[in-house]
Amino acid sequence: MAVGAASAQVWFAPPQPGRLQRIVRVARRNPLGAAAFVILLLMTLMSVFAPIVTGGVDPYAISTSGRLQPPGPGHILGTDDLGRDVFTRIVYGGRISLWVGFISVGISQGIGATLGIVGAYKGGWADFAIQRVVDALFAFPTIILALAIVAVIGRGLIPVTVAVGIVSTPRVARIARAATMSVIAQPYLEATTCMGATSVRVILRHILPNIMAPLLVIGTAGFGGAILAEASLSFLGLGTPPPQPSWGTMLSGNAQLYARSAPYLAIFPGIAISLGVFGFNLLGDALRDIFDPRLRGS
Amino acid sequence: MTDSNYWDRLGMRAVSRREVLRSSIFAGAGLGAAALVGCSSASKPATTQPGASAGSAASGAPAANVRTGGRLTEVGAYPPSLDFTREVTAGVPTITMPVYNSLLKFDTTVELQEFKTVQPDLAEKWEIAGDGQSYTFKLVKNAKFHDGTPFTSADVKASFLRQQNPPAGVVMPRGSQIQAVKSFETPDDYTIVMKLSRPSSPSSFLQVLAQHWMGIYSRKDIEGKFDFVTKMNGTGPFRLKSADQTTKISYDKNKDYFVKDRPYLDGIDIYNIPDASTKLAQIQAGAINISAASTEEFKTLKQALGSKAQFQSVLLQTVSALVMNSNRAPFNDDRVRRAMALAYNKEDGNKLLTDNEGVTGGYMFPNGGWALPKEELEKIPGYGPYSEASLAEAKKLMAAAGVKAGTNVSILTRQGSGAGGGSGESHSLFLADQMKKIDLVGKLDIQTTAKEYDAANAGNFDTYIIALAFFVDDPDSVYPDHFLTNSPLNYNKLGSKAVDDLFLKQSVELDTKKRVELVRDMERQAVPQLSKFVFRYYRNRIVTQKVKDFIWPNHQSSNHQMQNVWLEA
Repeated sequence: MAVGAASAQVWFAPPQPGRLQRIVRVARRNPLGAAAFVILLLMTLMSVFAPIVTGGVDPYAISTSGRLQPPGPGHILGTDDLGRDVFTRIVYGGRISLWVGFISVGISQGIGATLGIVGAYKGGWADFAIQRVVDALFAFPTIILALAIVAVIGRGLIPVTVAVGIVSTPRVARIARAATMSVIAQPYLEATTCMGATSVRVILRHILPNIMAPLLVIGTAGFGGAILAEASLSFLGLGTPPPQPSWGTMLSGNAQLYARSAPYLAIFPGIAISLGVFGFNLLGDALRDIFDPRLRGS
Repeated sequence: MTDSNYWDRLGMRAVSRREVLRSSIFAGAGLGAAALVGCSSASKPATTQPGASAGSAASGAPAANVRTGGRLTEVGAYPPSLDFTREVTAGVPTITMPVYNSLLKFDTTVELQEFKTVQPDLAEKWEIAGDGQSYTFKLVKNAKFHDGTPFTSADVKASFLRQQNPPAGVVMPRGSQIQAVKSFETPDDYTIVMKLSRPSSPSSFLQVLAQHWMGIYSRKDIEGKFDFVTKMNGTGPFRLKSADQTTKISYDKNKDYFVKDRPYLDGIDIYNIPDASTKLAQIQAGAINISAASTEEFKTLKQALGSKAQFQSVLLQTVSALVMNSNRAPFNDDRVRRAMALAYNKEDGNKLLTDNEGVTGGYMFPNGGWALPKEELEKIPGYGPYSEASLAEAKKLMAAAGVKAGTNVSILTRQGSGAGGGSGESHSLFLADQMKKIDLVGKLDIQTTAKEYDAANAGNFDTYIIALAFFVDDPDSVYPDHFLTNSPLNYNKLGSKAVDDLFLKQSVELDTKKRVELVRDMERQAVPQLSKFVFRYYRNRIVTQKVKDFIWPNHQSSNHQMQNVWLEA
C-alpha cells in the first residue's frame, strides 16, 4: 500500500546530519573551497582585530632609524622607505580591501540585480533600454571604465569603491536577467500573478529567492575582482590615497624604486593581494559547485 | 665653499664693477661676459672664458671628432603647457628649450653656471651704458622661426612686453625680473636697446636674459593669438614634430638653423615613462640616452651599466620648501608658522627623503657667493639643528597661539612618491608626521601637477610642499619671483617693506662686495619671515649613455637646447 510504504520509508530514514557534520561533509567534497574559506576567515579576523594582531604598532608611524629594514625579528616583514612596519600595513591594508570588496559588491549586486530582474520581468522597452545601457558599460574594459569614473568623481577610498561597484554592475545585471528569465518561465510564477500578486511581491518573494544562488556565486567571485581593481587603481595612483595602507598603494610608488634592494616591499603586499583574490575565487567556485544541482551528487 | 673662493673664481677680487662699467664696454661673446665680471680693463681680452670657446661653436666652427646624426632619447613628461613663459615647473625647459632661443644662454659644458658662463644666442654682441641703465644688443641676421618668418628685433620687443604685461588671466612669473626695463627700442631690425628705470648689475641682468624663460616668440604669433599652450614656433635648433601627452614628444632637426652645421643630432625623442621599473629596464637596455634617476635607481644603474654610462650627481639650485598659508588659520598666526619650522626635524627629513644628500640653505644658493654663512643661517629659527629644545619652543608657541589640539591642516601635495626630489607624497607624509609633534593633523590633498599649481595660485591650501627651481644664482632672479611682498609666486604674500627696499638697494648697487652685504642683510630679514620655509636644497642624479658635450648644470634644465650635443656611435 502506498500509505504504508510511505510510512515505512519515514520510519527507516537515517537520522539527518547535524549542522557541523554537514559543514564537514561539504568541506570534504570541496577541499579547495574549505581552504579558501579558512584563508578568508583568517584575513577577516586579522583585519578586524588589527590592533591586537599587530601588537599596537601604528601603521602610519614613520621612523628614521628603522628605514628599509629587511624581514627579521623586529619587523617580521621588514620596514618601508619611511620606516613603517610592512606587516602592520598589510594587516591594516586588509581592512581597505575588505571594505572595498563588501561595499562594491553590495553596490554591484544591488544595482545589477535590480536592473536584471526588472528588465527580465517587465520586458519590452524597459528591458531593451536596460540591456543597451549594460551593453554600453560592457564595451569599456573594466579598468578603463574604473579610471574614467575615478577621474570624474575624484580620488579616494569612497570614489574607488563606487567605481569598482559600478564596473562590476553589468555582469551582475546580465546574470540576474538570465536567471530571472528562467524563473519567470515557471508555472508557479504565472499562478502567483493570476492570484493577483503585485510585481513587487512577485519579485521580492518569488524571483529573488530563486536567483540568489547565482548571485551569491558571482558576488563572491566579484569580491576577488574588487580587491584586484582597488589594487590596480591604487597602483596607478588613483586609488586609496596615502597614508592609508592599501595593498595596491604599497605595491606602487616607492616599492618599485626599491625593487632590487628591498624586494620584500612589493613581494608581501603582492602575496596578500594574490591570497585574497585566490581565496574569493576558490570560494566562488565552491559555492557554484554547492548550489549546482548537477554537481551536488558528484 | 668660502666666500673668497667663490668670488675669486668669478674673477671679482681686484676691481669693482663700477670701474668696469665706467669704461662702457662693447663686448662680443665671452669678452663681454668676462669684462663685466671685473677685468681691470675692458680692453683686456678674455681668451680663457668658456663663453669665448662656445662663441666659436655658436658661429658654427666644426668641432673635432664629432659624429653627426642619430636621434637622442630622453625621459621626460609633457608639461602643464608648452608656453614656458607662464610655467614654473622645472620640467618645462626640457620640452621647450630645443625649439627656442633666448638673446643669451649659458655655457652647457660646465656644471656651475654663473654670469661668467653667459654666451651669445640670438644676440651676437652687446653694449652696456656706463650708468648701467641702457643695454644694446646686436642680433643675428640669419635666424628664422620654424614657420619661415625672419627673426627681428620686433620679436624680442614683443616677447618681453608680453612677459611684462601678460594677457588677462595669465600669470607670467618671470615678468617681474625685467620690470626694471622701461622701454624696448628697435632702431633697426637687428638692434634692440633696453632702457632701464634704474641701474641693474650687468652680472644680474645678463643672467636673467640668458634664462630659457626669456626665450623669444615670434611677434606675428603674439599678435596673431597663436596657441602657445599647445604649439611651439621658435628659432631653435629643433622643430616640434609631434607631441603626445602620454607617450612621446618628438623633434626633428631644424635644417634652417642660424648656426651653421648645427645641430648635430637628427632629432630628439622624449619618452614619458611613469613606471619606474620600465624606465630602469629601458635605460639598462640602452634605449634611453639621458635620464634623471632617484638615489636608488642611480645605485642600481651604476651596478648594472658600469663604465657603459656616465653618472653625474649635481647639487641643484632647487629647494624643497613649505608654504604656510598666512591667510588661513592656524597659519595666519606667525607663532604657528615659527612653531612648524621649529618642530620640523630637517636632519630626519634629509635622511628619509634624500638619502642625506640635501643641503640646508636659505633663499640664496648655499654653494654660491650670496648665501648667508652656515653658522649665521643656523641662528634663524627652524634653520638650526633640530633639538628637544626647539620642539619645546615650538610647543610653547603653539600654546601661546591657542591652537586647538587635533586641528586639521591640509597639505597640498603633488601626486607621485617624489623620491629623491623636492615634493610628492613621501615629503607630505613626513610633514604630517612632524605636525603631530605640535598637535596638528596633516591631511594630504593630492593633486596632479596642473591642479596643484591651480590650487596654489588660488591660495586653496593650508600648507603646500613645493619644489622650487631657481634658475640663476642671483638675487635679481630669485627674489622677484618668490620673496618680495608682491612676487607672483609668493603664494602667502608674506613679505615686508624692509625686504622690498633692500632688494631695490642691492639691485642698483654695482659694487660687488657692498652688494653681497646688502643681499645678506636681505636674507637675514626675509628668511625668518617664512614666506617659504626651505627644508633643503637637493641633488639631481643623471645617467647618460653615448651622449657627448652634455652636462647637467646647477640650473636645472638650462642645458636642453641641445645645439652642440652629439651621440657616439
